[in-house]
Amino acid sequence: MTSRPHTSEDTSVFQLPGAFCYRLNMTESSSNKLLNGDACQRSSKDKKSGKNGFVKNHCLFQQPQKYRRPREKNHNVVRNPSLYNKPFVESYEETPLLVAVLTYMGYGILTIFGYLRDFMRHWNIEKCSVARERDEQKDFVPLYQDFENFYTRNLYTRIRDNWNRPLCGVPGSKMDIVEQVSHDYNRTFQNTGKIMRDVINMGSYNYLGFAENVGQCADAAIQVTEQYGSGVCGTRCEMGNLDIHQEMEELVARFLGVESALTFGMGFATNSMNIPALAGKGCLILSDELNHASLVLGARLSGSTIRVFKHNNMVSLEKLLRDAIVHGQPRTHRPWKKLLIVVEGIYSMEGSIVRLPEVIALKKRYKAFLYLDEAHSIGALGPNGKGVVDYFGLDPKDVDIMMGTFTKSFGAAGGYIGGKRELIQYLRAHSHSAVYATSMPPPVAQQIITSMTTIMGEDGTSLGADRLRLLSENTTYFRRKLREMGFIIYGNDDSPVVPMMLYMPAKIGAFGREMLKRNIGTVVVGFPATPIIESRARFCVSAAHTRETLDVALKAIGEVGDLLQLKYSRHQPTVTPGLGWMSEESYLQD
Amino acid sequence: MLLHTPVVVTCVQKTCSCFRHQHRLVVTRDQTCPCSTHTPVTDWCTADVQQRYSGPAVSTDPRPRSMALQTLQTQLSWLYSQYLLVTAVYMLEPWERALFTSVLLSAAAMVGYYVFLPVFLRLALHFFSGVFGGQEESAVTLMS
Repeated sequence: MTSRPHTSEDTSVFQLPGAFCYRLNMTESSSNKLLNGDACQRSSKDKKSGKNGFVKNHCLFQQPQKYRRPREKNHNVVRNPSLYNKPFVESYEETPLLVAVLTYMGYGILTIFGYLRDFMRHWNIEKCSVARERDEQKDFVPLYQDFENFYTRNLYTRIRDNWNRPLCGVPGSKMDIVEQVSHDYNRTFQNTGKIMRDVINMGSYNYLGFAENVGQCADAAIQVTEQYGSGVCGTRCEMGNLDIHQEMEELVARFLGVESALTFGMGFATNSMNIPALAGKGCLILSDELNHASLVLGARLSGSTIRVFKHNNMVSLEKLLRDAIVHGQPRTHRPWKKLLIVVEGIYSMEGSIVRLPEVIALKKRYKAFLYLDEAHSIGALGPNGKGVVDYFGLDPKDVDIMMGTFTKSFGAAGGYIGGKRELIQYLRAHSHSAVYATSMPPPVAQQIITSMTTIMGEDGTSLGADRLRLLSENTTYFRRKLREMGFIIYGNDDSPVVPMMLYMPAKIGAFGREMLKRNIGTVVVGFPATPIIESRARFCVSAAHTRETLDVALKAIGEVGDLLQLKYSRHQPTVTPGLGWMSEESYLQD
Repeated sequence: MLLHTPVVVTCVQKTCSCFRHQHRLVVTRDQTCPCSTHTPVTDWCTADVQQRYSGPAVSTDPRPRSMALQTLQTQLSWLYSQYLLVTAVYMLEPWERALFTSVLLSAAAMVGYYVFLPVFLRLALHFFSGVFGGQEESAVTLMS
């Protein structure tokens, strides 16, 4: 064999995204290299990628070659801009170093006091009112010694009045909260007997404003209750299958653009009970780092091997896919029975949107299946409200299993799975939830039917289109204003979930209480739902919020931000004061 | 001026958001909290003030303070609030707060006594010995 230097045609193969001919070139060039190892001139890419010198880097999404110290986490770099028809802007500003140090210091002080209190409880210096093992169990494996229980006893309980606040009305744009007071530092609560009226609601997943007790949806639900009653008393397999369920499933399938759909009474149970029916031993589940607990539970219950890729990181996902195909199952190296990629539409703790065009390109290339959980994105994204598939302008038939919930945008409860007819027929027989769980109550089903027809515009009014437009306007306005005020906001610019970083543990409790004092109800989140130093306040923008309500809320957030020093952002906001009205208009065009 | 009879409310959270006031709040329908960080109550409230404004109480202040003292007091209370938030002492019960503050102050006092005080005294001694030493010498020469 004559020595042949590496020509450019070898390296040109991976410029073509769809090309599958790398195998031929690999054998040819590898044979070349075997015989003519040192005589060949290697290109820089070969130098980087080969441990054994023979494998070329034919990935769709390449790692950046140079190492640059990231100022921001590298999520806002779009690798393949040709797949997106509109700009994909996400930002996760890095935690300022001083803030991180002070947060750790705060947690350290709280941990020291936590140990002190635990010591006092153990030696009965202080009366213990937390969960504790009985005397007979003292020699058994301890139940309450792990970090989660320590955190609950000593950190969570101190600011527990920010959660589980009882509402006594509709959680619409404004709500009524029962006022509670605690005389023993949040161990017990008593009602004061008063009700806080018209608290602005920035925490409910009420994206399209369907949480209401007047109007078309409520009237239809009342009528259906009078006809069917309120309970079903059976599962779908037995006497619990009503004609309203079938009508609803046909409507859901038409809304999503799939062949067929199946609905369940509970959104969490949809994920956790259906993934075991779809994957089993010998299958590989590739799930995102920040997937919801229901997806994690379903994946673990299924018994498949689970591998986790970095959040929304297509390079990591591609590497896992390639490793799975090349190496197969762990010991036997047999090929996997199926590869299932599990992602969410909008991740509610980060406010980020999945990079669906890239995931679909990867899935098609490596012949994997895609399970898309659109709990927060259905009804909230897209020009027609049909979710993240509609937002990117893709074909619903590319997503194998489209799952979603009715809790968020439709003002009801429950979940659905949509896909091909064979898949749905299989799930009807094999899913735990479809076989054993009680089916959806009729008023809830009617609420879904009415709200879905409203969103699609089939009820003859333009209410659905108005609400979708209001939601996207409110989202853009709210996010822009918060950014201009100087807060650190995570996530995509189009997602109605807005997480605002708080970082320090005392500020979690202080923020929740200060906002309630100013008559605004917010949701604050800490460990374990988020990483320990990245605690945040999560706002959910709704179509039911008017501009005035949002202005009141923003003013209060600004005040509390000044009071608690929450304006950590180091970016200069681009504010053009003179062209204020013009910049507003440019945001309205989407 | 009080146009209505004051409405007394019990606060949910014992400390004011400006961390100055510790007592029950006396609020009138159209007055603001006398501490300057609160904006007027009527901005957010509907007619039922007593159900909503559960801020802390302030004792009615008979003596009007001067502006400078007021600003200083505001600044100090703001600094105190930031200290409480950053060190997470805000979340602790009052006896834990007292314990932490006393430990911190005693540590600061010890550092001051053993580290800074000798340095300060040595510098002061050096400075003043130079002054007095010079005077004595000149007096001696004059006498002789």
